Amino acid sequence: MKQDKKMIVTFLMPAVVAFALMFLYPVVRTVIMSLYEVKNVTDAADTWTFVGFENFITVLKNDTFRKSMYNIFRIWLVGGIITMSISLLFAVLLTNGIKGKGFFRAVIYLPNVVSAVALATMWTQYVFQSKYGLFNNIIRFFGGNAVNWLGPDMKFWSMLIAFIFGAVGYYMLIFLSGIERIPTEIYEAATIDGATKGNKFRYITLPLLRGVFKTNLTFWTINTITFFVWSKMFSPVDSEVSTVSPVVHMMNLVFGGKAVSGTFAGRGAAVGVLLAVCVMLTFAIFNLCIKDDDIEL
Amino acid sequence: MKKIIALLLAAVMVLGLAACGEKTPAANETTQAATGTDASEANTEAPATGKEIVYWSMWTEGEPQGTVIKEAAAAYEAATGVHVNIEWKGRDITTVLKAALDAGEKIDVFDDDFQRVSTQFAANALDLEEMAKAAGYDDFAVAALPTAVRGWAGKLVCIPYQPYTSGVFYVKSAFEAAGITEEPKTWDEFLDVCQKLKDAGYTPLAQDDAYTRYTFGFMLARMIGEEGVVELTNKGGWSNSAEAKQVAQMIVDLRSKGFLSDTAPDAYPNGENELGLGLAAMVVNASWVPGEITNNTQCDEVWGMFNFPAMTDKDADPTTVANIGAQGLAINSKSENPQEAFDFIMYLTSGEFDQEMALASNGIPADTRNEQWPEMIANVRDAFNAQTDVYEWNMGLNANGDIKEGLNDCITRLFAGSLDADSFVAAMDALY
Amino acid sequence: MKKNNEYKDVARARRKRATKNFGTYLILGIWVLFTAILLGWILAASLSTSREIYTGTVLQFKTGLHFSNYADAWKTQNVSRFFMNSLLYSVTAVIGIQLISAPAAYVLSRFKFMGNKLLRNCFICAMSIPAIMVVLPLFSLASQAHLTGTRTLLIILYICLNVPFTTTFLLNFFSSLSKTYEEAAALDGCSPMRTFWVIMLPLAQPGLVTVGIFNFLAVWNEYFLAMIFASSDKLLNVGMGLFRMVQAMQTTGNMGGLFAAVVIVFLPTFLLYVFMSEKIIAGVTAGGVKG
Repeated sequence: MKQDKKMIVTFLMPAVVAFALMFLYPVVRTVIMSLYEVKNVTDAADTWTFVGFENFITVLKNDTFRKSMYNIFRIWLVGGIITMSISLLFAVLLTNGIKGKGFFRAVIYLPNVVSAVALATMWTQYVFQSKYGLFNNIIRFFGGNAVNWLGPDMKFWSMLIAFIFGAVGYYMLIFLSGIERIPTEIYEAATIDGATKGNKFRYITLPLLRGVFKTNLTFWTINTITFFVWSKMFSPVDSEVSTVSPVVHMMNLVFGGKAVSGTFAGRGAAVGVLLAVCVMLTFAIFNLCIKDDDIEL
Repeated sequence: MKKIIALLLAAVMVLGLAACGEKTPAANETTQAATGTDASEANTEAPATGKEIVYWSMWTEGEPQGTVIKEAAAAYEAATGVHVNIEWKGRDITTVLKAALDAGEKIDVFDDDFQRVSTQFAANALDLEEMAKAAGYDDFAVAALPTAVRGWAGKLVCIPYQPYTSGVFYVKSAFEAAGITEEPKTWDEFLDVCQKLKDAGYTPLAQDDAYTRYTFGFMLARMIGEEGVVELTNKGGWSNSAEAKQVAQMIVDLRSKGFLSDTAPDAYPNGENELGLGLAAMVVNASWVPGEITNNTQCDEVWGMFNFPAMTDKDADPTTVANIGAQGLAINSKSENPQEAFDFIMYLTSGEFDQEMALASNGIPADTRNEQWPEMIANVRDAFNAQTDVYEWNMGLNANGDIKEGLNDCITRLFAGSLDADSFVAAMDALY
Repeated sequence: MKKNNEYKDVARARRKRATKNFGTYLILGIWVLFTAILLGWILAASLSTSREIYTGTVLQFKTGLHFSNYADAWKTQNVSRFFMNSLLYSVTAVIGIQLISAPAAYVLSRFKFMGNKLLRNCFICAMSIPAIMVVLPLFSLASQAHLTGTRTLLIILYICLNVPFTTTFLLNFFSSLSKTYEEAAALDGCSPMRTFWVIMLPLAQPGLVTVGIFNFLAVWNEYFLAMIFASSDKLLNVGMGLFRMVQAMQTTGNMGGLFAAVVIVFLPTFLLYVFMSEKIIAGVTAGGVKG
């Protein structure tokens, strides 16, 4: 077994170094940084001034930060419900024994392999365009009034629609694999007992998918908290209230935005810490509320 | 990785040496080789000095500005033997520059918006007064620009180039179709023009979401001056400002009279593009807009421009005040070759290449000795030369970084028609 | 009589199933159609002029097909460079990730030692740390090490930041492999290290391919890290390169070229997807379930 020890060390070392260098150290440093007044990210630690929780207070009081938190909260909740519903619906439909399952599955997942920058450009320049865009053409075809999709009142929802469209495929795949792991005997037994499709979904599929739900919600939470590309692409010139996300705000704090107001790396770190706390809190809640011991996945 | 780089470098060296034939390789081979190829084409070749300056550029290589800069760098190298190593950073230079400068990266020349250079990067920039004096810079510069730099930084920390001015830009064919012969000078005349344009079937004023603060700022600054706007932006009290309310009401009226498009403010650049598509007639913007619209829509409109009109009889500022600005080229205070760097900047911002830059980008020459203006903005010239004072970008509305997004949102909603004058000033005050 | 009834029942059931499935096909069909319209529009836009794009006449091709957009995007707009960079980052990162993760995952799945459980949990935790928590110190580390503005830095980042996910994924994969191979190898006098490289790694190939493709796609379309760490035009990958092009549209006004760039960038991932979609989907589901 002596040799094993050497092997364990040599095999693990690179991964452990990567972890320590790229995760452990930066996380610790970000937390410390959030308690100091730091102007530039690159400032050496001896130029930092300790300010306690002042960064957090300033950030929490900031109007833009609050609005950005409100934005991602709405994305998380409203977008989450819609995305999970559509993904689950598609997953159930695809497991109904229809023809061309592989084709449908592949096409629905397809937007995930396209660069978000490309997708977002297409949405803003084509689908949501107010004069000749796809959506307004459809609305006019049915005799409705054109909507200003990218106006201040609708921009957030337009962005959310575009984001959901891209996200559905990913969550559908995870649901799909969950449903496929449910033993068919359970359904067969239920059919013999005279259960309807709806009943089977309500009493077998849903409860047995609890673990998968937790996985999906976990991923959804991380994706919303780090919401960035779509926000940037829906307001490419400058950050806007309707689309701003905490990460965008953080980048503006750390690297300076369009308005000339200096850089505040310490406050940026505080935003990072606050977001990480949000992630941890939601995970803790998921773990308390959703037990996934029903089925071994 | 290193091996690959080494191999590539070796390959470049071999190619470079082969291209310039019998040249003897020196210590700094790659630079030498490159110098050799360029110089061998020109007859008046300067001896290679082996010196190199590094220029972090805010442009990307594919832009017209990038092309001119590349030419200027090549010509400068042919004339002086100093190689200019250009790193194309694009607009994100703002993000990376500060950190790079502080970390001691080898950068000699950098550029960005001239106000940002004169404020955020002033501490990293060399004082150029001496060298500028020796070069007689102030004799041919557009005076307002270095004055603005000195106002922000207390000294000349950058050389402004690619100047722009602002006002109301319009499509001449639309004015002709509507039978308008006089450019409006007051708000009332402006409204008359709008009515005529509307009757002729045009959307009188195009408005993009990215420029709502610009239009609003122009209106408010006319009435209370830029300092007044800065004061309001920093301290609030919008509800107590009769002028702010009046401006808000004017915008509400523009909407209700149908002088703005139904979808205004449009998602940039859809609004301004309507000028090129023959749908709209005027837009409040800066002098790059004719070129921009022409590029986007491939139209062949002839462009007119007039100063932003006077709002009332009691305006704080005359109509000869406008937002003018530029990009600024600065030299890193840690640069080892400041004089070479300065010479290169002069090469780019005056004489032949300044002229070329203006023509290629449909911009204004930074060197007043350059007589030729791009056709598209030829009639901006009189207004530009008559300018008496300068507004900053967004006329003071950018002063308060903490409420930037909120303020923009209120103004955008005002233009969109979802706020009336009273709820607008209330919403603005709610930001503080 | 009875037979006749039975026949009717079957027919009714079949009809019922057909109508029910009709709804399914309708819903899925609409979604697929919508996706096809969107992607089709991008393709059409890449062959149109800016004016056509801004006036909504993309699908009419009144001025013909502008294939020159592709040449312009590839050469003038430097998409070729973004493309090569992304290729370099993706390929080296995928290889690097595998070289670091596979041995670690193997050891964690096969050997019992102190800290095994802790390390596994560390990797799982690292997977859920948002990138924004780590970029600031990494940025200052990089500039201290004078690595900013180099491809090496981006490759290191792409490798290290994907190690936790890949290790966790492969760990589960190795656990599912039977131990009899190693036992047989040990009887033949093969050292454990050699056993790993010669026997176990080839056996793990399906898992390696799946996670490899997944990492490839992730790095190919990466945006956030490139924005912060790829400061120079020379280092841009396709995601950030496209974003720069969108920003530079102000002065170039070349929308057709932009969408041509979009198509060029999309093609490799699309081809990979068409031929490997089973593997990619397997990667998502396996990675997802273990998260």
